[in-house]
Amino acid sequence: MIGKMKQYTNVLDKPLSKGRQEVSLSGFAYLFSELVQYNQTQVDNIGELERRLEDAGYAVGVRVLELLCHREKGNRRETRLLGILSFVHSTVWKVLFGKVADSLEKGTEHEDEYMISEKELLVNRFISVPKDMGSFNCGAFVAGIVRGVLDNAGFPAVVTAHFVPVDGQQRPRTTILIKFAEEVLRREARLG
Amino acid sequence: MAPAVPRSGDAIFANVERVNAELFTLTYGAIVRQLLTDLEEVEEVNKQLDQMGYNIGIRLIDEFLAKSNVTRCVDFRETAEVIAKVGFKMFLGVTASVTNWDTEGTSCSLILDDNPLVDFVELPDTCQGLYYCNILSGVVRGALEMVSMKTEVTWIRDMLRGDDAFELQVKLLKQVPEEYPYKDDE
Repeated sequence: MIGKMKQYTNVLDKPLSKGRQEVSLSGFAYLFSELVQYNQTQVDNIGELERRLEDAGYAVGVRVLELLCHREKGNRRETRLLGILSFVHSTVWKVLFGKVADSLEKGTEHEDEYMISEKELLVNRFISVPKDMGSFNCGAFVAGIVRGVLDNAGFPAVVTAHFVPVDGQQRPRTTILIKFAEEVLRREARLG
Repeated sequence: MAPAVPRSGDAIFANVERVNAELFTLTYGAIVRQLLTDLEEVEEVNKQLDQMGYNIGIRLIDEFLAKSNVTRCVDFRETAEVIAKVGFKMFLGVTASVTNWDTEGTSCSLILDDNPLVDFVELPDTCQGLYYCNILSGVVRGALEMVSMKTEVTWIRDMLRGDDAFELQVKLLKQVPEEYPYKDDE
């Protein structure tokens, strides 16, 4: 019998999955908690921890954009601001978290700010932040995902995650704040 | 008296909350990428993944026992079957099969039909020594340790390294009887 040659299947040759496969939420939660715990050992302060989570999310966002553009949008890309925002708010959220984001708002104080809000981010479901970590939000991971999507779609922005206390609710809701770069707004104005 | 019927993997999986496997896959990829950047040595990354898996396993076993209603496994054969059919299904949504039992019944192989961790993944030439799914070996080891079984879990076949399947070998080293936490004479 001839010895079997090792076969490295080229990942690009495999058919693209429909995206219907699921894993348990707890499986994901364990994995995410390990991600956060590992990063805690690698940093000295909260700012760095948020940055590392954001960087991890950025890499996810880049890939999500490519995957969804190909699978959901037939390789068409968004050129308008509202288009890409609604792509993130609906399509990306629906695929990653199973539902569209709770709300998408335009900032009132600044022209270049938009906010996506969620009552409880999926990644934060089983996370509790000790008091001495102040305003640290593991949603920085999601902020990174959004930044990855926007950056690679041609809409560079600074994206951060914030807790916003809500009256009558024990857990604060999370807002992803998106601040677009100058060039994006100028381009948008030019496009009319 | 009939023991409580253990629930099948499919039934439990249908009842737990689920998330898109792609989020899971991409998050795991981000973790491996971070480890490779930080640790640089592939062996170190393998060890770290195993450790992370171990940390997950020691917590995961509680949820597993709570949700699956399994009765105490009579022997290691049953343990392996339960892991393959119920455990993997419950958390990863995929089943595994158990094969390659040795003569004493202390070592077997779990073959994964499908592996959500490795969707879209290809190992570059610089990382050929990497056991990408090493977190799974840690999870199994950690979970079994919490139910008094010391095991050694290693990857026999890995599709990312050119083999045709994902095969995990689970070897029972010894049964550690549960230690009674209180001294009898106090």
